Amino acid sequence: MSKAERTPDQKKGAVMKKVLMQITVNGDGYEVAIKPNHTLADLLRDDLNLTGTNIGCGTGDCGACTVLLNGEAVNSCLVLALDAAGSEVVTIEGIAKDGKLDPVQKAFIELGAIQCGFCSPGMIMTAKDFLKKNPKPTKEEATEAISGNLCRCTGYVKIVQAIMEAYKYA
Amino acid sequence: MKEASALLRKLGDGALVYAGGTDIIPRTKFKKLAPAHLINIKKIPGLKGIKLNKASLTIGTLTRFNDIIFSDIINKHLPILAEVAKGMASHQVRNLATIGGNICNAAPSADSAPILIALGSKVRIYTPKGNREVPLEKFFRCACQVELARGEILTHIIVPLPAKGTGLAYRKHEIRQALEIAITGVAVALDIKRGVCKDARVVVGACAPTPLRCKAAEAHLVGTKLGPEDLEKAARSAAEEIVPISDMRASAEYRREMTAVNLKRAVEDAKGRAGA
Repeated sequence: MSKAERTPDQKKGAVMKKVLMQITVNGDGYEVAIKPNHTLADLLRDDLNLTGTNIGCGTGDCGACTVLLNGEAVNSCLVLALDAAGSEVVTIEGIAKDGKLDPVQKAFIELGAIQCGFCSPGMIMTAKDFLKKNPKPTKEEATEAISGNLCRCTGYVKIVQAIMEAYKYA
Repeated sequence: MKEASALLRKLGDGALVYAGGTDIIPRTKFKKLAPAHLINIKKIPGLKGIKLNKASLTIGTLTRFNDIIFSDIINKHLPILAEVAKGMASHQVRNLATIGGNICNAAPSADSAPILIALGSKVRIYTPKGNREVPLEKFFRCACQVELARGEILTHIIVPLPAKGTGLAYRKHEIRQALEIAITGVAVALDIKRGVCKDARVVVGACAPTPLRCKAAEAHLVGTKLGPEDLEKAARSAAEEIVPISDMRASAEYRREMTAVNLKRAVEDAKGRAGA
């Protein structure tokens, strides 16, 4: 969902010029002309057609837009696209290897951690970041790990379980 | 730094310093801010990282809250700061949000300020005429405003290392356990020798336009053995000293009650950690 380009406070007729930037997403290099007030989430979805990353709240409160920026989980709705110039981004589209699902994806699917699927990419990317440091978490640790991700369908039970058991699907 | 400062002065009110963006972006989306220019300071060298000095830590303004949480220096010498950071926002936000940004955004409810003030921290500021240092306690002008002239940039936070026998605690009263803004946040620093409180700093957030030092409450603790009556007196005192508002999160009366409750809890926490 693209936000309005001009606020009432900005002068009428003053249109923001696009700026050229380079970015690597899921291992592929891109050159994109982007307006300075667009976020990384906008860039991924609108300019690169990588719509796996979802925008829920757009203000960093729901985690649906979580991607890995230089290896770290961030809310892509809070990162200005130009600020990610020169960076490496990994999205949900980038974690399957050679057509095979990532173990976290497999765990989510097989344990029933996905219902409507809107929160799932963000949950999985958060889990990927978390499991790097703690591959066999306790229930409390897995629960805390997703405290920046909201789900309205599942009640979190299966999501937490999938994160705890993802290592079994490697 | 010179360039950033000059740009800020030249562009005036329409320009904001941009670091993590975790306050500027949401506030802009909510139409609370409409910056014409953002000055990205993230590539300026020397503003990141945590340095251990003999009696203090120097924390660069661009240090992110996850950098603080995972820092060996912090976990060894000032673990309370990691504890406070863990209660802020979310993991994803903490990978972006900077301590300098949190301080300069100066939300009355910000979590980093109370404990940093209780520790006696100072901030170092770049000015075109040279650096200056200000006690953090004096750095907050009013809600969402710090004592920075146009063109000045916060560069470092200097935190004195607590002496042996100091107990530190922060109790954040909140409705949910993550991505939550404090209803009241009580930071306590106690110097305890042989069971007697020699010095106390009590700083409350979210109950005044700026973080508030509750000196009358402190006076009720100093010289005592921090028994239940002492805690009760200090708690009642803090509840009177703060100037909370009623807003969507809580009424002023609730904030007074919860400040009293959390002051007692924070003092008990700090007592238990003083170990002198």
